Amino acid sequence: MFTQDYLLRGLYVKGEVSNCKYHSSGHIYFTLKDAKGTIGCVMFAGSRGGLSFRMSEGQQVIVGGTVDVYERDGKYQLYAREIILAGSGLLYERFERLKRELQESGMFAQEYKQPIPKYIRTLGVVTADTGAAVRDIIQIAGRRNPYVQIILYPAIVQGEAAVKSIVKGIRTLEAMGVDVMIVGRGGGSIEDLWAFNEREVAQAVFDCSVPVISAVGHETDTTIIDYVADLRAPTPSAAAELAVADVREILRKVSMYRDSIQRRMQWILEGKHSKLRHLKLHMKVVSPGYRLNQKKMDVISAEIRLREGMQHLLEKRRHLLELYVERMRGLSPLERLCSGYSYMEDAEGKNIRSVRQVQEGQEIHIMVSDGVIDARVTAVQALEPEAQDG
Amino acid sequence: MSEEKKELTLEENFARLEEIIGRLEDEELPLEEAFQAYTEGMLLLGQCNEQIDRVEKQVLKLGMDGQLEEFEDGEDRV
Repeated sequence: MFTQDYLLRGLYVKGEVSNCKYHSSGHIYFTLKDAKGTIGCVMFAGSRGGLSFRMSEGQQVIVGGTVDVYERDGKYQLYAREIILAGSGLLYERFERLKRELQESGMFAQEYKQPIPKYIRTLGVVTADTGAAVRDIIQIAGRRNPYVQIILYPAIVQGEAAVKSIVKGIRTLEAMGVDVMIVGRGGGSIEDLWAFNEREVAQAVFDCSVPVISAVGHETDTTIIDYVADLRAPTPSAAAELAVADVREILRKVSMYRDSIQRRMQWILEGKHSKLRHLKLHMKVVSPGYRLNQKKMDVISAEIRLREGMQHLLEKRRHLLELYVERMRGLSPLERLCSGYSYMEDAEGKNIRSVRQVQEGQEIHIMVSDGVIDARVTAVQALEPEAQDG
Repeated sequence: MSEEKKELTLEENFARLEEIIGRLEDEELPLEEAFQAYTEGMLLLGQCNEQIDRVEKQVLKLGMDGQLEEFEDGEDRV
């Protein structure tokens, strides 16, 4: 019956969100209420495209959808196709208008962006002194470099007084001469973040001579000051990371420079030393003393060669001599005695070569290899008459 | 959007150190100049160390009267 009703099929209901539950299936269950009554609502996972923000308790929303009966309970429900924040349409329009205007005035231009110094000594923070944003910034900045001085300007970041407070914070920290400034706050609804969409805040950020990092809400939130700031950080934590370099990296760099300079200097000195050594050597070679020495060496070497040549010659002669000695030995009479021959002498030492030189009873000496035999001739016999003249 | 600076920042010191190392890498650099560059480099390193100023800082909070006071974590005051 309901589904056929034209009116109930294309219906918009405005109210406050309560009992909002994001179910793990992707469906969202909540109750919409106003001063007069309540209605149960469900947005199925398939319709989630109609919701562009995270719903939370107390938000004023306009829900577009269909009313039908949930048969199990016999209750009628609003099946949401689209949910928009009430009043956000107006804010969105203001946002777009100011954005367009400031863009046209050139305030977003890249040429106005100041570089964020890599190594800072003081960090200014304009945010509320309570809440997650300031804690995240302090924690992360402190972890990365506890030697950086953080100065917090405790600003009012939402409500009536916010714009004035933030602007004053920016100007005060600028006057104190911080190196970099983070301006922002933690997440919240578009209304909560609104101060950062105001012209005066944008102007203060633009005018600030100190580089400004904007850090408003979550990654998905974009505010006017994000366009004006010198750098936009998605979150306050990220802003702290962008503002403060890791001190370990800095110390590493310093020691790297020290090593490098010392190594270079050592290398240069080494080079000069080696050049000096080389020159010294060269000087030595060309000095008269060295040349004299060289000549002396030449003389000595000639002498050695001479002596060696002589020695060689002598050795050759000696060898030749030995050969002669050997040959001579072959001819020696003693050698014959050794092989069984003997040599005879008469008493006068005359060599006996013939039977005619001896007579019976005469004393003779017979030489053998190892001594002399004294003997007496007992008989003499000639072999043959012709042979005796030989 | 302002350019004037009182002393060399750490960044500028690092850039200067790069330059000095570059000069020391020049084979033809006379010894006297090498010594000058080296001395300057060591001085700069000293400055860098000073600039890092290794003293842990308390977070300071600016009071309404313009006085700085130590910031205590607001967690318990939320």
